[in-house]
Formats: sequence, structure tokens, C-alpha cells
Amino acid sequence: MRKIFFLLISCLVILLSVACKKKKTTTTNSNNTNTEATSANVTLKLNNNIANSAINLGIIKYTNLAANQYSVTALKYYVSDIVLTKNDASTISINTSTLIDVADASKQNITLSNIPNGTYTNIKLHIGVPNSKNHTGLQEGDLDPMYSMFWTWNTGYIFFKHDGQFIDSLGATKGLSFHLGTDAAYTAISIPTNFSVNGIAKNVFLNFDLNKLYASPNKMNFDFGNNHQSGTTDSAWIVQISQNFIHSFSFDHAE
Amino acid sequence: MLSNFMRKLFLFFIAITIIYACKKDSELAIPSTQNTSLTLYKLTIPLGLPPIYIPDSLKLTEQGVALGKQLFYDPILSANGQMSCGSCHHQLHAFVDTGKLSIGIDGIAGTRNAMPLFNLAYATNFFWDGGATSIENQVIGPIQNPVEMHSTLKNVIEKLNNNNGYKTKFKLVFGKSIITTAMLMKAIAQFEKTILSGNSKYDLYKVGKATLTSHEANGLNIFIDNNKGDCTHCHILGSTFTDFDFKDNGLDSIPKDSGRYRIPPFLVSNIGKFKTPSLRNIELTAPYMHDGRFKTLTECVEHYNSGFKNSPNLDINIANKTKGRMSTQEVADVVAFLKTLTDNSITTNKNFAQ
Repeated sequence: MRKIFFLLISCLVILLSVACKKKKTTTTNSNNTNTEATSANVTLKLNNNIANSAINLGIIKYTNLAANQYSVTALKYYVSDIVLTKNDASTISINTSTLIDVADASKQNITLSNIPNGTYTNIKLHIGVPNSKNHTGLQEGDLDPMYSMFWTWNTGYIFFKHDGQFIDSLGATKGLSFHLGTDAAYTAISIPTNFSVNGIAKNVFLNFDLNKLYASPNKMNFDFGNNHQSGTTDSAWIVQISQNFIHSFSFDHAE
Repeated sequence: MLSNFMRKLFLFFIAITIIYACKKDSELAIPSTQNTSLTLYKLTIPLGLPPIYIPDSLKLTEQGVALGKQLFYDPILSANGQMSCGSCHHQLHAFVDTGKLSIGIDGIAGTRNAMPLFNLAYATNFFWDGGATSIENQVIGPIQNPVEMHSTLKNVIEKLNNNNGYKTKFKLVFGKSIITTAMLMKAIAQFEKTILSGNSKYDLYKVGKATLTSHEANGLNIFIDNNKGDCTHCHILGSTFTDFDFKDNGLDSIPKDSGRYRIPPFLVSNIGKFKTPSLRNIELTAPYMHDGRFKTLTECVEHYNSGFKNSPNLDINIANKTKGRMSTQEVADVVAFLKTLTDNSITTNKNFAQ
């Protein structure tokens, strides 16, 4: 009898320890990055620039296609819902909304976890915040309304913000403000790429040229509009900017 | 060899072990934000109001409502630490300001009349133009508005996180040690949702516990008469006394304030439209209209009787009316009826007081 009781207790102990161990083992496996990893993290690094030069905040030293001299005091935008396309036409979708802020070095990257190995020929991304997340401020992380990218008078996120100054045609220094938002302005951008993932973390460098945003196909002249806020009567610029976004991003290289 | 009984006992032990292991897992799965020391807030629906639906994710707790009330009356939310929500929303006046327009911390007036805060738990959009799509989203508007509390959320959240009293209370209510904007929004909204008003003379009259005077009764008849007051197209009789819609009520032939138009999708047909306000406690909330242009209720009713102007989006139920269809006495009677919608308990309820 005593023997049997001892046997029962032993069984209990073994069962319990197995139950605990099993969970631990699973966790270890998922974190394991061995040499035969079939996926890796890919970090999109946004190189925000003006005509290939780094952006120095607060100095009127840039010139757009319309010959307006201008500055940047704030340049922020949201990048959402990224789709990577492989050379076999298969796709990987990542639902994310990341705030890019030129003033903050820690906010210029988007890390995509566990991207399967393969050669990637295209990155599709969206400027803005998708409809499903655009109508409530009750969100954490980059969508916390405290980043000054959330309208309270008209519930929704500011998708893109460029604040600065420019010199008008009469030589006067004036304020410059582009605040793009509303569901209709959510813009898809397709960027042809050429990089591969081989189980090792990869950095993919993308360029965003602010001068291109004001150049093609719609030349924006700040003299004819220097205070653009989505939600005011002049909505033509929303369409123009959305069209221009498509030509403002490019793939640089990957390493 | 084990006896049959022993075999059964052995299997029983194994079963218990497995059940125990599973149970432990599911208990662990309960998110840490669930706090059993919270007490659900029991919302008492006043006589004249319908039930309220509040989703689980925004459920009211005693502790959350108390925290929201403390924040509502705390000038910590303003840039200079001198203005709270309560500075412009006075309980004594059903939570409005008595000025035409409210003055912010920099001495600058806003462009629209402060709105009363009651029965907001029924509303789905906020501000005169409905730009805020939930009470939570509305909360952070005045905090940041340059002509109101003129602060930044970054600044406010930092101040709250540096305040041990608030850190403890937010932790209790939301189960997290870092205060975020969403938590601030939810807390103040919790308090505001408890401000309900539906115990007026009219509500008592409806259940046979009060009698209207002859003037009040006549006012009610004119109020609902399609050829006279015709008020109920927008100010639905009973319940919240509003259709929660937006209307151009003919204040200006060319609206000075575009109203609902500035909210997407920017419909031209929304120019000059503003929210239909509730008529409950209307006696307490002077001055009137989105810009506070009318000082008295008589001026308001007279506007609909004879003062309205033709404008592109003028509401059809006003546009099709003959001017001067109500006599001076009839206008006075409508005003007498409107005063039966006053619920004095809103001004004295200690649950809403600072």
C-alpha cells in the first residue's frame, strides 16, 4: 500500500513538472534563431530628406520646384498597413501604424518581425491611419493622441504634418502648414525594391524626398496656399498631395 | 498488480493533476488590468430617460467616476494650472458658462457658446458641429484648444505621471502604472456619463404626479402643434428632447460660422447647420444658440415665430412656416412650458459637485 502511495505521488510530481516544462520548451523554440532560420526581422529605415540632403529643422534653406524658399520645423507622418511582395508574387501583410518623426531619431524606423526568407520586389505602404483606427483616440503606442497628430475638433489622425516657414513672392516670411488627414486622404504607395531575406536581420533603406512631394505631378506653390488643413474648404490640395506622395518614396538599398 | 480500486484511484489522481494544470493556465490568462477591488458604478436612470447602453470596455466604476470627477475639477489640465473643465461648465447652470462665449486661459474668447453637460451618455457626437465622435474623443479637445485650456497632452500626461496621488488612482482604475492619454479620456468620460437629468416637472406630469398650469399646458399644446410651435420635429417630445441631428435654424441668411460643414465629408448642404440642443434645463443655460446671441427664452421662441431668416440650408419645417403665427401670449406660454423641463436636482446633486 505504502509503495503504491509513493508511486502515485511520484506520478503527480512527474506530471506537474512535465506540464510546466512543456510551456518553457515551446517558448525557447520560438525565440531560437539558429543558422537555419526561415525568417528574420526587417527594419525599414526612412531616410527623410530634401533633394538628397538631410533635413535641418528650423532653417529657411530649401527651395521647392516652384522656387519657394522654405524651412521645416516639424515633419511627421504615419505609415500603415505594409505589404511585401516576393518575386513569386506571394505577399506578406503587416497591419501596423508607425509614427515617423524627423525630430526624433528613434522614430524613423519600422521593424517588421519574422519576415520569411525570400527575394522581395515590392513594398506597398500607406501614408496615414486606416479607417478602422482613424475614429478614436483611445489607442496606445504611436497612436496615443499625445503626439500632436490627432484632431479633437474633428476626430481623426493627422496623417502627414509639415510645419515651417517660407518666403513669399514679396519677400515676407510667412508660416507654412500642411496638415493632411481624413479617410479619403489615406494613400497607398507602391515602391519597387530588390532585397532578399536569408534568416538574418536586414535593414531596408527607403528615401522620402519632401521636395518631390511638392513637385510631381502637381507643382505646389506656397504663394498660392501656405496653410493647408484637411477639413477646411480647399480640399483640392488633398488630392494633389496624395498623387504626389506616390512619387516621393523610393528604395535606396538594403544591408 | 494493482487492485481495481487502486487503478481507479490512480486514474483519478491523473485527472485531477491535468485539470489542475489546465485551470492554473486559464487563471494566468486573465489580463492584469482586471482589478477585483473595483466596484461597478450603479447608474440610476431618472424618471424621464431611457436605459443607457455602456460597452464593457468603457464600463463605469465607482473609482473611475471619482477619478474622472477629480480630473474634471482639477486645473492641472490647463497650461497655467488655473483652469479646469468646471471653470466653464458650472453645475449651478446645468454645466454651462453664463457668458456668451467662454474665455480661455490667455483671455481669448472662443467662437461658440459652452454646451451643457448632461445626458451625454445618450449622445454619439459632440461639440456644436458634432466633430468629436465619442465623449472620450471630446474630452481632450478643450484641454488643447488654444482659446480654452491651451495645454498639450504631452504636458498633461507628464504632469499626471509625476503626481503620486493620480498615479495610484489611475493604477487602481486601469491596472497600469503609466498613465496614458486613453486613460485620461476614459476617466473624465466616466464621470460625465453619470451626469443625468430627467426629473423635471414635465416628467412628473407625465406620470400623473404633477399638474401643469393653464399657461404651461397651453404652451405644451403649441409646442407640439405643427402649425404653431412645431418644436417637436427636432426637439423630440420627452426623453432627451433632441433628435441629435444638425439643423440650420435660420439665424443668418449667410451663416457666419459654417458649422457642420467643416466636418468631413464637407457637404455644402451642411453649411450653417448646428446640433439640436436638448431643451431640458433650458431655463438654466442662457444665453442661447451656438454663438450665445439670445439672452432669453422669449427671444429664442420669437426667433422661430418671426425672426428666422431664409438661408440655403434652412430647415424645411421652419422654411414652410408663416411668420408671426404665434401671438405674444402663445410665445409666453411656450416659454412657460419650457420652464417645466427644469430639473433642479442637477444643480444640487452632490455626486456632480466639486
